[in-house]
Parts: sequence; C-alpha cells; structure tokens
Amino acid sequence: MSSTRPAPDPFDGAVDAVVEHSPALMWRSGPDAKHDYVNGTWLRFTGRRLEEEIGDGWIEGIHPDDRAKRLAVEQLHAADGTPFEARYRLRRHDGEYRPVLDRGAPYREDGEVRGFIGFCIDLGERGEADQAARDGFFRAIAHELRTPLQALRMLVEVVRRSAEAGKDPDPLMGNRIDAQFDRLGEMIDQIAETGGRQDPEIRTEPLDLALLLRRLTEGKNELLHVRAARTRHVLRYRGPEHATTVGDRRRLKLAFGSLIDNAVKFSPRGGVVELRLKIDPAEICVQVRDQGIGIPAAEIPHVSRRFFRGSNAPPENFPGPGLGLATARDIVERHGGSLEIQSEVDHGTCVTARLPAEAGRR
Amino acid sequence: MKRILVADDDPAILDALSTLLAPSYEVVAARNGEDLLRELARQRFDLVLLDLRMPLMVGENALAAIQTGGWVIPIIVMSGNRARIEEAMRRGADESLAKPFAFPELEEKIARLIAAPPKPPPAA
Repeated sequence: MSSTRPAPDPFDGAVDAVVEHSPALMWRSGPDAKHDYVNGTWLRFTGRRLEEEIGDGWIEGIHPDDRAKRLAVEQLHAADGTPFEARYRLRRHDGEYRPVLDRGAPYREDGEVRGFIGFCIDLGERGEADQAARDGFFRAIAHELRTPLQALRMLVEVVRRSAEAGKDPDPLMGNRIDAQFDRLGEMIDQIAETGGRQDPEIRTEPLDLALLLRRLTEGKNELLHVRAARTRHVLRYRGPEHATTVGDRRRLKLAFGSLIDNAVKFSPRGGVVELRLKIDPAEICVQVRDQGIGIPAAEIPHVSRRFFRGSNAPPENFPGPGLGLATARDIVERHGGSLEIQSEVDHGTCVTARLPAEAGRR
Repeated sequence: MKRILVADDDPAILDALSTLLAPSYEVVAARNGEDLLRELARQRFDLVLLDLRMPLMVGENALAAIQTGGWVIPIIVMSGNRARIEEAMRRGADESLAKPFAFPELEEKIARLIAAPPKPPPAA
C-alpha cells in the first residue's frame, strides 16, 4: 500500500471483526485474480488454511467445470473496472460442491484497478429447493398433459367404433371431447401464467361473472360425468343468473377453474362442490366449497405458494404440479382482490375470492 | 361374459374405457383404491385394469392389497410414469400400458390374459 502511516482506527478493530465474521465468504484479489485475503467464514466453509487459499490456491475449490468461467469473468471486468457477478460451485469442507453467488467490486489505487473485493453466499438449500421444485413441476406437467391425451384417444376410439358399427354418434360426445380440449387449453394457460410471464397484463373488459361461473360449472360437470363409477361429485352453482362486472375473462376463468379442479381433486370420495357468487355493495365474493380431505391448519398459510402440496396429499395420489391455488391467488390479487382459505382436515375446504365491487361499477 | 374391474381416477378415461369394453366384457368402474377393494370383495372378477396414480390408495398399494388379499387375478397397470410401471411389473403386475396408449393395445392384452390359463396362487 502507498500510505506511510496507518490512520487511527475509530472503530478500534471492530471492522476487522465484522469482516472476519461476516455471514458472507469474503475475499480480496490482486491482479490476475490471485487472492490476497479471505475471511474466517471462507476458511470455515472450505475447511482450509489461509495459506492454502491465497494466491491461486482458492481456485482448487471451484468445481473443475466452473473454473475457467469464473476466472474469465473477473479478467473481463478487470479490463474495464466494473463490478461482476458469477455463479459457480464451490467445494465445502465436507467435500460437497455448493452453488454460490459471487459478487466482486473493483478497488482502485491511484486511479488504477488493483483487484476486486468480493463476497460469496451459499445458495445452498434455496438453489436446491428451486431446482427440485422445477424438476417436480416439469414431471408433473408432463404427466398432467398425458391424462387428457389419453382421454381424447379413448373418446375418439368410441366415436370410431360407433361409426364402424353404423350407430348414430352419441350426441354428448362432441361436448366430452371439447371438455378435454378445454382442459388441455387450461393447462397450457396455467403453464404460460406460471413459467412464461409472456403475457402479464390484465386485460379488463365488461363481463357477466355469473354466466362465466355457470358455464364453468357446466363444463366441469361434463368432465366429471361418469356413469359406471360409485364415487360421484356433484358440482353446483349458487348465485344470481347474471352479474355484470369487469375483469380479465380468460384469467378469471382460469382462476375459478383451478379452484374447482382443486376442490374436485381433493375430495376423492366425491361429494358436493359448491360454487357461490355473492354481490355486495362493497365487494364481489366467489366461494368454492368442497367436502374433501382439507388442509392441515399449520399448512394453510403456505398453500398458495407455487408447487405447494399438503402433507395429506402426496403427488402419487393427487396429480398436478401444485399450481392451482397459486395461479388463482395471483389472478385475483391482480384484479385488486384477495383470496382467503378456511379448511378442516377430513371435512373440506372453502376458498373465498373477494374482488372489489368498484371494478364492477366502472 | 367375463368381468373386468377398471380403476382410474380420471372420470373421462374411466367412462370411455367402460364404453369401449362394454360390448365384450362386463365392466365395473372404480375411481379410487378404496372403491376398487370394495368391488373386489363384492364379486368375482376376471381381470383388473389399474391406474397407478389414484387418490386414497395408490395403484402400487392396491396391487399389494390384491396380492396379500389372496385374489388370484390378472392385473394390467397403466401409468404415464415409466419408472412406476417398471416397479409395478417387478412387484407382480401381469401387463402394463404407458399412457397415452391406443385402445387396441389394451384390447389385445386383455384378450391374451383372460384367455391364458389361471395363474398359480401366490406362495404363502
């Protein structure tokens, strides 16, 4: 360093302690990315001694596949003196490579970049949980898409065979096939709504919410129609015949459709699923109530998180990527409303969407 | 007429399969594992067509329950998940179908299994 005498330390060594014990893995590099300092947190993380980490030693801890990339980033930013960010895998003391986020900012002496000061944080469990959620999502979506495809193949076969037998087609067959296409369309909307974010804007238009809900109920009933099985769902709508409001038609349909699907899915023994619409001067209230397995009380605050799944609803038994409630909440909130969940294990769940009434009076 | 028990949680698939099988077989439909076992206890079946993903009792557990319950009956498992199909085959399912499959594939497997001589009872 160029200064001759160290300035008196107004913090009496506290700064050193802060740096040494910072929760981040801190480091400083000189020219050519050689480290001349790493803090105690870094050493505890890698389980190595300072002598082993300084100079080029620290590079050994980077996953071999990530080394070149990490060094290139620093070199590139040293040339123009700008801060950088890098993600790579760093070996922990137990030998496991952990995903880290590394940020470096240039420091200068006499106006020249001398190196970087930076810190790493272990993305660890967060990164892994995100990855696991993504993996689970794609697996579930793939599986989910196969179900309507299977149904369509079987329905088409029914049509083909009745034609071959010279029988008149079942007049309801068109509706049943349409219902499967609607279901595929909804899944695609849900994927777009979750992953793509290509179309984030809410497009409001005047709409008859009562009619939308009644049609949705009829469509879903079509899907639930099984003559032979013992387990039955009764889906019904209660509310006014018509209710004019404004909103994003496609998205509201997706939101309430997701809530109905959940209600049916999580009442495997059948039962009544009731969709209620109530119009108050202050708000529009849509309620979806089932007689299903319910949600454990402690988990209710987490249910509208993406990919969430109740401890009483393992994915082997209950298909789906865990997006329904998250999608519904997102859409309702973007309409200025809120979603409320009441539930009791083995008795059922009631999801209430409240939308501002002023939206309806515009 | 031979009797088939079809278990699938998806109403549309269950309904279409029932319609398609009805000309050749007597079909009973179950939407979950509990219904499946209840039906098995009620009457004799010649074959079980079992979706592995079902509420209340997954197909794998239903398969085990059928085996331990002493029912000697051919079982065809269906699933969109190949790993689960392989596992179910290891555990003694007779045939499998990966969703989405074509109906003639199923027809052929059913005909083959039902025509086959009854399998020996499981070792006690």
